[in-house]
Amino acid sequence: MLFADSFTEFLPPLSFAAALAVVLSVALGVLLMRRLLGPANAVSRRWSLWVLRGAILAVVLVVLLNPVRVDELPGPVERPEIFYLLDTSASMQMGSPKSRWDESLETIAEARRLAASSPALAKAFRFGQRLAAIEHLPALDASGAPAESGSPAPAPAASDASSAAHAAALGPTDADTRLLSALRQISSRFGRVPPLGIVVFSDGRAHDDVGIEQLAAEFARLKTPIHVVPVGDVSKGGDVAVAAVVAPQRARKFTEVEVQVFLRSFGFDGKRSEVQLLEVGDRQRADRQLASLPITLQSGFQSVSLSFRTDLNTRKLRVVIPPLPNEISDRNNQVDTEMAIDRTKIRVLYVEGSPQPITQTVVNQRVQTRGPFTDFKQALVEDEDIECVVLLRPNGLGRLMRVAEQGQIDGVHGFPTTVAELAAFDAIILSNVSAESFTDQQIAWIEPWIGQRGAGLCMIGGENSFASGGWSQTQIGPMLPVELLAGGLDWAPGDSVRLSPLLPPTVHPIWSLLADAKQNRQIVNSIPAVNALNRWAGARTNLTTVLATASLSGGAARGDSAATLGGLGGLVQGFVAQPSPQERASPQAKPEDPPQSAGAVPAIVVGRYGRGRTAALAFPITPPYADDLVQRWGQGDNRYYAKLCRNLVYWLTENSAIGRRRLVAAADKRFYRPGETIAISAATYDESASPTKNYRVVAMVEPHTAPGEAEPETSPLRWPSGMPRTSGEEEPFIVWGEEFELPLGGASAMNHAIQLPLSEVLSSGMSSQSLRVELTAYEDLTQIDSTSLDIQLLHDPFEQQNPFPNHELLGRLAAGSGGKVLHSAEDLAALLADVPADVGPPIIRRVPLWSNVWLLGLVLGLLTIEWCWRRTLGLA
Amino acid sequence: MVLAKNLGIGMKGQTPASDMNRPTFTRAGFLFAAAGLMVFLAVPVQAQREVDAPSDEKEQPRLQAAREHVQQLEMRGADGERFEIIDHPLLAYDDPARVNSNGTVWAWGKTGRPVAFLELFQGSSKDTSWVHAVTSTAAGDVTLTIPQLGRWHPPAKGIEWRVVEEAPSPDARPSSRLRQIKDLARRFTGHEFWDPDNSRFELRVLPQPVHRYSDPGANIQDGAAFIIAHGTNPETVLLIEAVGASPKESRWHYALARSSHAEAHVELDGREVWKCDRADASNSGPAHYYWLFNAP
Repeated sequence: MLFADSFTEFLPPLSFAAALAVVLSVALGVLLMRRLLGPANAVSRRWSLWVLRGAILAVVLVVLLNPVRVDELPGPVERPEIFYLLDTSASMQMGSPKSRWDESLETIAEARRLAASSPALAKAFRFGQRLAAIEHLPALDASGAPAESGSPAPAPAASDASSAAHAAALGPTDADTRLLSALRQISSRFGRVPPLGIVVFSDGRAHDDVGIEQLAAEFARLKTPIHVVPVGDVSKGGDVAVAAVVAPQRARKFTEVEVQVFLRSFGFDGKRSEVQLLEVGDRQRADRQLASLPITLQSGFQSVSLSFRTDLNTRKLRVVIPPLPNEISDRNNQVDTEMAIDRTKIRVLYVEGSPQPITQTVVNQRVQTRGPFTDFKQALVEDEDIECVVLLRPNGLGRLMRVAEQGQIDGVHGFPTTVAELAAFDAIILSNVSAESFTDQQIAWIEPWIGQRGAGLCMIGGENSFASGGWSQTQIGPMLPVELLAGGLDWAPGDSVRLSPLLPPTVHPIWSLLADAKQNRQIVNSIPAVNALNRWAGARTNLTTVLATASLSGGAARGDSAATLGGLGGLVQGFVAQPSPQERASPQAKPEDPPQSAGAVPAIVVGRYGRGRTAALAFPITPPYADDLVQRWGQGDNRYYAKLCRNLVYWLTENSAIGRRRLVAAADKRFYRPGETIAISAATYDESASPTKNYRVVAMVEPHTAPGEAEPETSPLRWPSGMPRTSGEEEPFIVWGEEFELPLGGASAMNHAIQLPLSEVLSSGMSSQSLRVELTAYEDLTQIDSTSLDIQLLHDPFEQQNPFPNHELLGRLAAGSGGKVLHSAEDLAALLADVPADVGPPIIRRVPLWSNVWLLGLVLGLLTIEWCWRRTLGLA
Repeated sequence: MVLAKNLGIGMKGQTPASDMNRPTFTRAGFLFAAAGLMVFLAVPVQAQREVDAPSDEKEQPRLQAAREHVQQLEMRGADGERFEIIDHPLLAYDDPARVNSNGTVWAWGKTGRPVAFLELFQGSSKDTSWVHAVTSTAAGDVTLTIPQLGRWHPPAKGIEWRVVEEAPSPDARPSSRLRQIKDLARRFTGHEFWDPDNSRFELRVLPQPVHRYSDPGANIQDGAAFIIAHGTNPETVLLIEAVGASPKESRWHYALARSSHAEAHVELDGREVWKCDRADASNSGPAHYYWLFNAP
């Protein structure tokens, strides 16, 4: 009964006998007075006075009868409480087609619907890393709709923004499951009377399952049974998940990028699968596959590496493992990441030493200048992200001079006059230019520029290149990826030299001319012959790769080239290609590759020198020796010569994006596991591009926070022991945004370096996956440069380690506490329906009806009228 | 959005304390208290100077020369009030590819938003004259007086301000706001077209702001100036501010000011939000927001 039952009753203060006695007494008194005082005045017997007095008497009589309105309210219902404990750990995200979390919410909502009349009062709590009350759980509302499958949180039934926000915040995101801790803490939430029972919605995969029987027994003593709703399918075969993806945040275009993928699988040992790297389009759909790798699954952690070549559009990446049959969940089979394309301009210093004259012709009333440099430069600057500065020795004589934009010789500027000016370039191309064209100082500048700052060095064939150019005796010779001949002459012009690219299944980036692999292979193999060659002693064996060999074309060229050709043959005689260990290991000699002659010699060799990259081309790339290569390889826009030149420059400069920076920072590893130490070093350069220790380097750690995500107050990096702290913070961990100075030291005395220990235990959220170290170089208070390092963390939380539910644990918990295992919403509804309702006595409220101002006013009015009327009639 | 207030003026003047209820001191007592106060204040002030003031002994000659040069320039507001130049360069840079040497960035306005930024550099080592690229960020009327050259008087209207869309509300804590500001700055990218061949150059936003300020009296709860640079050579100044009566009520705004002759483009989340054409007489000069000039 929800509403009050109202009625009226009379509650006279006197019993009927007492009232009769009073009436009789009054009547007797009146008679007695009448007898003593005589009859009443005749005037007083007027009917009008009798009416008034009768009315007054009637009102008094009504009051004496005490009419009362009685309101009877239903007695209070004591609604017994039932606590719902929802597992919000990350493992609840698993499940297919519905997640375990969705399964829990649906069970709650359905039971609520089935047992709508149950008096039970459900109070919801969440547990994972810690216990917390859930202020509003839509599934507990009468109108609470079950969550959509796949959503991390139930959709709010009402349009209330705060409820929606709260519901959105509620989801299975905790990095740990601490069931026993939650049950221990739940008793502090009991009211005056313990709840009738506790219902645990969980997959049972708890971190702290030791001592569960004892805890269950304590609840049994409290007479608070713990019922369990086990969620998750135990009949599944296993699970495979992409645990982490480590990819650079930024990469140059047309460069090879390595993506490290960490997998975790369970129950699929020996099964074969494939890791796919996809490019994601604007509508979050995978547009194309960039790379893939077959794998054989093994329970536990596995790491694979995929690489792909960036282009202008590669930004969003997705790593996917196709779901296996009977897999627990396919939600964890893919991870998305983003990578920005760095289009920092590549500056190439192209030094051309060919003695070909510069000619000028008038085409359409415009003067066009053409020299030996024109084709190569044009090939580069067709790409707007490459700048090419040409240096030339006019007519092969004199000092190096810069070629102006229109092709004229700039008589003022030549080779960079400072180290800083040289360091502003990313690569140097030495084409048919002799060592004597450079001063000793200029050559000395090149070595640290390549080795320390990561620039690229390429020497291209010609009569003034390699040993013929006198490079053997310079610092440049040992930097090249080939061994130069000891003698001074290695140039052999005159005859046709066939070039044979070496094309393993994954071709070198330099040979990537077309997107279509098959067509690309055909085009590369059709590279035209050249008419000259420099002779090397061979390719160096360390960190080098032979990309092409050269052999003498013509009927007798293969196998006996030296015998049939003049000067060139004589030079070729006696040396053959010396493939590097990598080359020998790689399956380069595929059936589709052109056959190699016994006299084939390395023609294109690439390698590394310190941080930089090096390349050597044994043949010229300028007319007249390379006319076919320059002009007849491809038609129209498909000038493969140009693409080859750009590929060469992109590959050479892959490590050189730091050339114009004053602060260059690096971490010692690509990713870190909990408990490891992150070693950060930073090199500072002064205005002349020389390493300096005159700047102080200040760093701070910042989180990669997703919008709306709350982060802990501190980073997972410990404050280095012994390092003074000026911020006033006393936390053992570095606070986000807290500044600290990198001391000078480390491997190089010129470097600033610091070691930051990573916490053994990572919390949930983005900061458990990556963070950013921002570094700024200052001279006094003036900023010199600033940069940031993305630190990737390899977080393997407990939640991901075993994807199977543990229903047995939940069963023990229920059995030990006297609770039930509820397998369905019907079971839960039955539990709710069995809850007894304790209804208290009705509440009765009585209100005297005469106790109102109108009745009292009526009495007063009648008395006043009677008195006035009496006076009017002449009575006292 | 344009903030039509002269930001600096309000900050300079201090409201005098009320004379009412002021305790009466004897002359000797007043002098004694004043002396004590000076002694008390002198210690931290001196310590602060040791930290803040650039050390002349250590300072590079190039910075000294630049400092001496900028001291000759005088910035004043509409009512003649002088804006002090921040006493250290905000950034020092070199750009050998563009023959910029001894470069520094300065700003006028020690409190609140700077009214202008100055990029000061020299050309080749043989050329010792200074190249100035000055850009206005003032919300009101300012005038820069350059000895022996004249005056720079940019339009008083001020640069254009816009709301940063899809940005969180400014946090109440300054440290968190700095993180927010840097997160916002990372959403900006830029490129420019310059010589040779008017080709494209990618710019980078320096992760660390070169200057941070606030001016609650002008509804600027927090603000920071970032440099969008070619290497470290400033090409554009990016200002990000929390504008509102209080941090809770404020929203993030941004504005951009050119600091280069190049045609510059700035994107926010990949969408172009600002551009400026290559500088010429129509958009650069002593009466424009941006002016590049030489002076000995």
